[in-house]
Amino acid sequence: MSKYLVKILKTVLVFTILLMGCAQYAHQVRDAQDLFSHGARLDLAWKFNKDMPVVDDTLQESHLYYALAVGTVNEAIRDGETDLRQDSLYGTALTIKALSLWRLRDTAASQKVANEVIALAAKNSDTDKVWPRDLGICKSLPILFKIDALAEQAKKFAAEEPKKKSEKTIDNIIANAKQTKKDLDGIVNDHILQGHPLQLFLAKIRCEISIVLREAAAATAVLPCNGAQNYYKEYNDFMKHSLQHLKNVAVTHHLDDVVKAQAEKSHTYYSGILKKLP
Amino acid sequence: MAFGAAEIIMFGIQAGARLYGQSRQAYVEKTRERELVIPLPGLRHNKTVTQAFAYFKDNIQGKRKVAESARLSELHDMAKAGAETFKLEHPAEAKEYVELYEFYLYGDEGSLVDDKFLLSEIIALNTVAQWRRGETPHPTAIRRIAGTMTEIGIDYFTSGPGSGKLAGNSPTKLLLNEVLRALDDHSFVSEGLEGTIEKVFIATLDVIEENPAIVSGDPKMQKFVSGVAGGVIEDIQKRIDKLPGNQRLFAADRFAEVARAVFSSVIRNGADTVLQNPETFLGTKAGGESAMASKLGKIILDAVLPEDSTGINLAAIATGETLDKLVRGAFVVLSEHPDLMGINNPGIEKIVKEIVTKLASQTEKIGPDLFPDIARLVLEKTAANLELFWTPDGAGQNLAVTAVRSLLNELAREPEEGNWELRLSKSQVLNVVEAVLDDLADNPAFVTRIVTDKPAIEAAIAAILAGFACNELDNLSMDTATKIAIRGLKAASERWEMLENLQGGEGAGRMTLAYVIDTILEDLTNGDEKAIWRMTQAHVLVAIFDIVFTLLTDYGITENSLNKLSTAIREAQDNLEVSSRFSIDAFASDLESRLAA
Repeated sequence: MSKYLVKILKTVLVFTILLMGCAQYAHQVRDAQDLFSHGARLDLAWKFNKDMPVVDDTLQESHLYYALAVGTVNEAIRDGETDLRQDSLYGTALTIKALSLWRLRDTAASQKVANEVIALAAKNSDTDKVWPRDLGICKSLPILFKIDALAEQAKKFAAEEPKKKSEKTIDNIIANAKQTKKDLDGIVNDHILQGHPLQLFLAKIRCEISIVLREAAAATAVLPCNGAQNYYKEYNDFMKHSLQHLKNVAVTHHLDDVVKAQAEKSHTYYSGILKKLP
Repeated sequence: MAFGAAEIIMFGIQAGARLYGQSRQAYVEKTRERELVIPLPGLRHNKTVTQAFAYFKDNIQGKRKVAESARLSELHDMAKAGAETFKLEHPAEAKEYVELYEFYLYGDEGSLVDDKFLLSEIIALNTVAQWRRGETPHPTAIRRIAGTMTEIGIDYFTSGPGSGKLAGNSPTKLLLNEVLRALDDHSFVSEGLEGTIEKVFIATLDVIEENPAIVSGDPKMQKFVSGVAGGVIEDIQKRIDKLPGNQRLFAADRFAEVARAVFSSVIRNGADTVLQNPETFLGTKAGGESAMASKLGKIILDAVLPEDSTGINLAAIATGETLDKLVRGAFVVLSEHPDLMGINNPGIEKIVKEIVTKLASQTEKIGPDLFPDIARLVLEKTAANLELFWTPDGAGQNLAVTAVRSLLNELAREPEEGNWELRLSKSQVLNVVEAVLDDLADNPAFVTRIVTDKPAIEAAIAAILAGFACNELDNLSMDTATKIAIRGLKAASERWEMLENLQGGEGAGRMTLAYVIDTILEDLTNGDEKAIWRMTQAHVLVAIFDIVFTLLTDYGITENSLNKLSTAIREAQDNLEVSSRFSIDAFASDLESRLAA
């Protein structure tokens, strides 16, 4: 009997090796996931001003990983699109590509890929499915583009000479921020994301809009007289609502205990960052 | 119906083929489920000149700081030109301005939230799962491979080795039912665990085939088998979960093999003991049986597969005879000391783990295949002397392990060039190990007392080897040397002076034990051919050492008594030369009367 068992085990081993060959496109998707997540770690280190061992320029390094993730997805799709679709991994692979292109600042290409994912989900196929986080991300991408654009606008406004600063520009920034918030409300209420942990991400990007608004509002400090006060108030109100939303996100969306704990920590962080302007 | 190799191989191939299909599906499902770290849009979270300016211009505390500091006031005036201009024209000052802003913010708030969050925490907060926790549409590992297991079972029981054993409510059916129910109850979900479940399932079939007695229909046996199976798989799941994602699948295959080996070994070697002592091993409380049984597998698994292992350097101890002896030894300890088996009592785990971690690699230096028997001996002697050897709160924990480790340390040491070398066979090493453990039971201080920075026992072994080092006897066999060493160790455990350095005389500065062995061997080589012929025969040599160690233990060890020993040996040699008379009894009597005088 022991000989029989040895044979079985050897056979299992052989098939395990074969498995790695037959599931190679899934394996490539995993590679792309790893590359993207590593790029995101570097990206977050840059955004949060944290050092990464042995990396001088974390932002530049993150772009390298995003580019590699795009290349890996392209390769997997080129050779194994049918397999990926059959395994319902096509949408997952495209989502990584869309996210990577967003971080590489190629918003047009990113949007195109995201649209493909959204269209795929709409087909509601039995085999070629799109999973909830991936769909949520692809639907959220236009908002992420808008926040980045808003950030550029705020930076530009802050960099302008005091005399050239126009109230029209800051009004436009505030209007854009409010519109982005509205768009965000639409995604938050999408049925696909009910109770989904991505709600925490969406609550955090609301705070990211506040951070952008803070920079723009603070830049009005150079305006004559008390010109800044109105904009401080706009930011303060926006920030207050963002933090309130983050604080309540776990309860509002019935998130599980792990995400609830993450939401509490995130709230602690953003409350420390987003201070009221005088 | 008899089964030949061909049928068995075919059965294996079919089982493997089914597992392949299920494993591929699991791999794909886990790829869909993987978490992603998602970056955030917007601005960098750093302090800027713009923020600093607003603070120093409009914040009450900020304005106060500007009023109090001439330097800050100067910088603030520069900042009025606009953030970009300030940074371009006065980069150093702009940097200083932002640093002062950070400094004052820190003063206002006591600490900055940025500093409180590590990058690892930030990354964790920005990692998003595909599904809400617990809502993955994919089945648990056991359910995923349920179809495969069913098919393997059908083949096994209809046309395979288990043909005819599932009729009615047969004991085999009840046993399998219990095992499958227990596995399902655990809701295993980890990636890569399918292989472990599969192998444990096949091992269950193997056990049924190999040990008909186990399939007795006794509910306690069913609880035992299912409990061990569940416990082993649960432990493997914990280990897999601790590994980084990219290592899991590769490690899982190795882990599965260890799980199968441990499960089979515990069932094979523990069934009789468990059935004879059901209260000890399965608990007396109804429903508590599985928890107790699951602990049995975990005890061994914890020892052979450390928690941080990736399985890459798994020692051979996780297989075959070694595992069986370890399991049998553990059951001996548990039979003698059931109190070590409580659910919350980590005693037996610690004992087994210490033996594996501290002795497995050590024994390899002495010789292959030694570990299983040494482990068995240590476990048996520990069982017999638990209250003496086992110090759960002490540094060494099990004195038996420390003693054997000390012994192996010295035996593995390379002798200096030209010195006589003690090269013991496996059985001789085991004899010495057993003697050491018996000496330890007589006198536990043999390990705890330190001599020249070593446990006394290690110093004693070193002294014995030093005593043999200059041996010039051609006919000193390893067997004889083993016997002398065993007697020397006993003498050292009985007489502290054996481990002290001599203060005067010829051997001044040498450890007494080494000197005694060296002196006897040297004195015996100094006689004429007739004396050497008679007195260095193996049994005579052993008897002489026996007498010397016994009498020195009784009468004490001094420079004077050692001189008397040399005199007695020379007298015996002279008698042999002159009158051809020598008897062991006469030598013993002569030495005793000299020492008593």
